[in-house]
Amino acid sequence: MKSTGIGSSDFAKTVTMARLQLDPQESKLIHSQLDEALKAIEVFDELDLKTVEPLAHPSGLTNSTRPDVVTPSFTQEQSLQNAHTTHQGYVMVPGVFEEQDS
Amino acid sequence: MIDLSTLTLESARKGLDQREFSAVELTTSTLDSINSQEPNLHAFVTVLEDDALDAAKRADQLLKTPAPPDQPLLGIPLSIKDNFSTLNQRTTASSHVLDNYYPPFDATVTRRLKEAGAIIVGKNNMDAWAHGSSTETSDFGPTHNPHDFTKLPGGSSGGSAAAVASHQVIAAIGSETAGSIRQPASWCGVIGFKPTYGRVSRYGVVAMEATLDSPGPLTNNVPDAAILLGILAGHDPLDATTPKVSVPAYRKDLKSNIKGLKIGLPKEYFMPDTQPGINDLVKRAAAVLEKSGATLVEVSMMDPKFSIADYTIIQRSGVSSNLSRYDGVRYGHDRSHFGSEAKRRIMLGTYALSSGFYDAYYRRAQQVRMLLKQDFDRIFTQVDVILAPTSPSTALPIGSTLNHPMFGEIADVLIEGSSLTGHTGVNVPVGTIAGLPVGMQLVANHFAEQTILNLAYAYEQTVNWKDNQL
Repeated sequence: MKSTGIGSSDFAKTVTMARLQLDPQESKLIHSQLDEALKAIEVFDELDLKTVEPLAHPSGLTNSTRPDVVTPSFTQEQSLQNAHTTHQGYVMVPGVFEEQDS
Repeated sequence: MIDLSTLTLESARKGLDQREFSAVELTTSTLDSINSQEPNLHAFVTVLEDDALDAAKRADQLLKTPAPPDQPLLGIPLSIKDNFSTLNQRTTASSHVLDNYYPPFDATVTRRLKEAGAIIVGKNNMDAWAHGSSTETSDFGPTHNPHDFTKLPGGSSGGSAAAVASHQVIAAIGSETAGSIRQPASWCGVIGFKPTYGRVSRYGVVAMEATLDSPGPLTNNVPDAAILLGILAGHDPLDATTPKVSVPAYRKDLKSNIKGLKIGLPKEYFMPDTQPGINDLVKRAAAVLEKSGATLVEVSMMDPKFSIADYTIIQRSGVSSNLSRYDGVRYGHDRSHFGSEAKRRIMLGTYALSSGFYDAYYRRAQQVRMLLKQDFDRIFTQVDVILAPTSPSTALPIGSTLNHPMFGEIADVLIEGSSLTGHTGVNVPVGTIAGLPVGMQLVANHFAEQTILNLAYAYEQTVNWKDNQL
């Protein structure tokens, strides 16, 4: 599969999904570098992958579980110690919904 | 002042137990060595001077009698890469996003070192988020190679490798996703041991790629690596990818008798465009092992160029997933603080995992990963160990990564395959070219760490690598 590079709308959509803010210069540079990186993937075309199963991880472990018992955890103070803003024992998060005038 | 260049973990143990020096004296000497060399090296993000001296005083209280067997590191100062969480001590992964982060817990690696009595003297510099093979992408500035300050130390565990090579510390801990222990060990001239994936817990390590990350030791000799691996290895209920496989007594079982071991030299790994001299030095090292009783055979493996492409997709996808948690709300700063390398990797990973492109990129990369695994499985039915150069070059100049988005992938071309397949490997210094170290890597089957420790030990017992100069 020849890489034709990432189209500008797909690039913009990826920036949004990645929750990044890129200035125009940075955007241009990263876009060209992504195209370059995707070109490197063209070597896959030399391999016959039609019947090959994907490998998710190398350990071979499946369904590794531990007993469902309560173990000591962080105190509320520890949980909050790195939070940007707290209020009455809770983490303050940025608003998700915009206020509308009634 | 204690001369750290003359100390190993074992001789430090002896010196402390026989009260030739105290833990406070050893820690003070370590801090002096760090502080005097830092202006040239910048191998540390944080030096934990007060905490280390407090821990040394507590160790001296216990060292009125020799250290108990379960505390082989009692009173011995070590440093760890800054992606291992340390309780209430700043842990940044060399990123501005985390430059105000104080974890409320220890990583399992940190906890095991502390339980073995180690004193953590500082957190080593690294490529930000471990994204790189140079330590040049650290948001706090590059680390310099102790053999030539104008050169890179490799990475991402470049701070750990430089600190050990320059004897700022006796030993250090790093982590490898694909080359991040072995490659800086090669460029700095130290032992760098990458365990089998799952052999050492990832709990509390700032994650890069969850199916690759493997913590391990960097040391100035093989016995020290065996000691540290024995402390770090083993099942951890907090990391579901650590199987319940018994841990050998690596140090006790270390032997230089390697008779009967079969070593494969993959012809594709001795690439024609490798820096002149490296293939020769590594083949010379292989001949030393042959003389010591091992058998050498040439083998053929998948071209390492496939590993570069495969690693690029698998790693970027893991990065985009793992770094999506950073929102600056519960800890750290917001996403505007990511450096350019992190942004580049997040972007490629997000694209490779996105609807419409997943099958073309991520799924195909997983299929190629299966082919790589089958290739290594096949090879390990023929030989016990694979031997090859660790890196296609010696240390490159500071600034080499600028505008080279695939720098790390090219630098780690000979390591990525065995990382994607989860195998264990070690870098062993075998000589120098123009004063810069050259390393060979030995790779073995899953959980066969003892085999490559023994081979590395046999080599170390026979040859002083610093005498092999080109």
